[in-house]
Amino acid sequence: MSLTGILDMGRRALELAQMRVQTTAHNISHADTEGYSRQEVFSAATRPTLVPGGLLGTGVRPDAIERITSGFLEHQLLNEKQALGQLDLLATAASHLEEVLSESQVGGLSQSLSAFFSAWHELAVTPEGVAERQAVVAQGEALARQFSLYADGIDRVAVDMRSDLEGSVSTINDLTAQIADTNRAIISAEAGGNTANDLRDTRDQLLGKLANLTELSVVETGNPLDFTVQVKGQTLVQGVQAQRIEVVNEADGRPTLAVLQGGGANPFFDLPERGRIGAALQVIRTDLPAVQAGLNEIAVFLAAHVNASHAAGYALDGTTGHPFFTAPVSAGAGGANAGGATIGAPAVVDGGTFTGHDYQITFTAADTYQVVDTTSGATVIPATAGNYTSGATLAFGGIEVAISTGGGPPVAGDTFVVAPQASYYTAMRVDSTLADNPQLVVASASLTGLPGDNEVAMAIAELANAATMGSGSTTFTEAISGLVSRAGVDSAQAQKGLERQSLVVEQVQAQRDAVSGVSIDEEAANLVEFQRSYQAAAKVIATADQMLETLLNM
Amino acid sequence: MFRVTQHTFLSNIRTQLARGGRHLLTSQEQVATGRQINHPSDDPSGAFRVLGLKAVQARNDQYARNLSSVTSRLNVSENVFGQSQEVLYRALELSIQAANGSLDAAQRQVIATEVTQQIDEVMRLANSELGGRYLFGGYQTDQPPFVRDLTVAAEAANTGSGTIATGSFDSEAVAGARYRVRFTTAATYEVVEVGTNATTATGSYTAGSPIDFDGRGNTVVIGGAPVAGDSFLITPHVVYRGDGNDTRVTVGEGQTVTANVHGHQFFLGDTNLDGTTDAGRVSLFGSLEEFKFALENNDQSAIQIVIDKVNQAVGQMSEGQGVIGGRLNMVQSAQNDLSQRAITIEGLRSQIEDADMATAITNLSATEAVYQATLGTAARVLQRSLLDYL
Repeated sequence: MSLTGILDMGRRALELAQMRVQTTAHNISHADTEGYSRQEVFSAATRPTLVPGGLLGTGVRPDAIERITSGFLEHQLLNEKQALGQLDLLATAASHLEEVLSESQVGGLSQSLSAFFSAWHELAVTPEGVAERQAVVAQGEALARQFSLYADGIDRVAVDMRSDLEGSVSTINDLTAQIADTNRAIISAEAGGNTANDLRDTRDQLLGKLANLTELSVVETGNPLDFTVQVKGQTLVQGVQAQRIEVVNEADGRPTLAVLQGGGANPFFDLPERGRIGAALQVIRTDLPAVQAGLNEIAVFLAAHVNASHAAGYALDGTTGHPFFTAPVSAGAGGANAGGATIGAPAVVDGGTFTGHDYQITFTAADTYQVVDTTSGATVIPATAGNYTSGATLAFGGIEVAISTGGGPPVAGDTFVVAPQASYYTAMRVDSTLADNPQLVVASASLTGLPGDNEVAMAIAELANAATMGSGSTTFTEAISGLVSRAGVDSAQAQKGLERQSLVVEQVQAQRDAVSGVSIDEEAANLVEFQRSYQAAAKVIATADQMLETLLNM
Repeated sequence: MFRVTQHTFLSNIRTQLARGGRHLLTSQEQVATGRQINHPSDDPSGAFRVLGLKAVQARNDQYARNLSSVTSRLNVSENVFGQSQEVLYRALELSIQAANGSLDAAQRQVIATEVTQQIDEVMRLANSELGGRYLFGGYQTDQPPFVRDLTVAAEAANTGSGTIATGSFDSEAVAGARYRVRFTTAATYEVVEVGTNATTATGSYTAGSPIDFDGRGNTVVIGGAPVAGDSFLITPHVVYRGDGNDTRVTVGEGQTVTANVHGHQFFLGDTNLDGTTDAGRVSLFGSLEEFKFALENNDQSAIQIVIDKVNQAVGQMSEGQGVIGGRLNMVQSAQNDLSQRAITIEGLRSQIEDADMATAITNLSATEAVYQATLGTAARVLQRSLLDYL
């Protein structure tokens, strides 16, 4: 062991202390960097020299600069962030929807409905009145407007969700491209066998952002080339390759996701449920259509019942057969019909037996047909009972519809579809002839009873109390209240879920920070320690120097 | 060892402040609006019940409005019966007076003039309107339910072959007076109002051409060959052209009240609408007309008979008032019931939806205190650093 060996040892200790101070400085610089993992310099002893009496230590060398992370916590954080992203957007959507459906003090569907039935009561009290008829028309218009206001509100939520979805997908594509790039950088940085701490940190941060947006699973083997990010079985990142995804529309207009591959779009089998896009897809594909269907059902049933009573009564001028709201049922011929028969506009004639279901009429021969309720699957009129003569009117489920043979008779296999309009509530209006001439509003059940007969007006007014919906268990008001409170429950649940999930993420984040986070106090203490080491190492050099001098002066 | 970093502190404080802020907002909203349910999500089941209660409230308000409309109609109808009764009392007085044997034809004619006015008065009352609607015509509310029809007859002493039929007349405008068409020769006639003996028309006779008997365009048609001295009598009488329908008004769930009383039942005594007065009942108009004709005919025994009928007519008006009174009682109790229920429902709604102000303000203060404490502790924790001591 030479004196210069001690000098050399001092130099290495000095260098190590300097490295440690520099790493501490790096940590302090990143004290506020989200997702940064603190780094530590690990040291090892250099090879000892064999001297009589044993092995003599020869000093220190830096062994590795490592980031302090827990793979388990990073993984858990990724998982919880997916749920957080999902609940965050779900809560936003639910609270938007809730505000759309909310009955404020100034107005809402339930209040419009009450006002509508009140107007009919007023007409029942004064069945001769023209002012009362104008009020009925005005309240009918207001009610229809309220339905379309709700429709607009729901559309706005859908548009917001759609643009959120598109934005998220575009960010996902950016992130996956960056992850692939980072992998490339890691490969070149780690070529010498080192660990690219900061680059791996960067990749973890990118994954964290990605997890907020989409459900994902990460396969990591240590080799960056094997690093894989998958979303519901679709690979978005494989090593240095990233696949772009995009939002495409299904046949029914609902959005879905597809991976872009070789110029084609490869649709997802399973859509992600978690992450922001999971929430957006769920809201657009399932939640909003359910509310729209609920509103539509109310509108269709309301119109069917009001129309059935109204069309059966007599207007002030003695005419009859006026619908109040525009026809709620549409009809069309099947695309593959070979015969020339055409279907007329269906009319709801009996609000009591009206179901709101879709029906299909199928001709089994030119003079026989069957009718199937395609909503419930039940056969309403079997072919044995459906005898068709040219121009006959078919009646089922409270609906009457004429099929005429102007263009030729039907042939076996021809089909016709009769369906309440899916978006009736957005388009419903008070029949324009009534709006132009309120005299045609019907209060009277009989021609001879004009003008004092108020039976029809009374019957329509009392629809407010009638359990007309849900197979005769629910009133219109209850159906509306049900929709509103369901939106409230959804919103409350999403808010609570979001709050809970925020706590979970915070908890995991705190655990991760407990391992990887930078503590200023700790770093300050380290700084003092490493400074002292530096000073001591310098002292070793000075001492060795003095020893050398002593030797030289001998 | 669980390491706590500055970042952990900061993110904790941020979350706590956000949560505190949210609670503060909710508490403040409750105090500002006075309601504890401001969004359905605040209490979804409560919101459901509130919507239901509000709908019931709106419906009950409407029922109350319906009830007040029924009340005003029944009140007016009752008034009409009362006033008609007043007229009948006077007629009763007159009939007793006229039955006195010491009166002569001229004196009875004076009474007849007054009775004519009374008939018109009762007719006006029976054709009462409320808000442009006739009260006693059933569903036929757009036209006066009581109008006049004419009975025409050749008089028994006629020797010619003349026949008479009604021509065109305005049943709403034709007066209550009787007219006699008398042929002065086979080719000329004169029309005289019975009672006053005023000549209202003269003319030369053409078979089948209309004769304007009252100078107001109302006509009868005489055909055949009357001879001088033949006469024909034109007698007006009141008929009903409404119907027997009840105007029902909804005053509660599944509850209706009939808002009209049947004019034909009380004014004509014709409950079954067969056009003739039912047994045991009287026609107000028939009795008064009979009285008037008896006076004009100076027929004391006929007057004697009329006294009973007028007396019965007075009773018929009382009966009508009784029917209305019963219905008004029902309406009144329905009204009381509704206002009682309105209070209950409002109480229920308030219990669910309205914030208890004392609790809300206490909550607000408590949340505020918590928020302030969070801010205070955050400030203290964040100031501490080892660097301060090095």
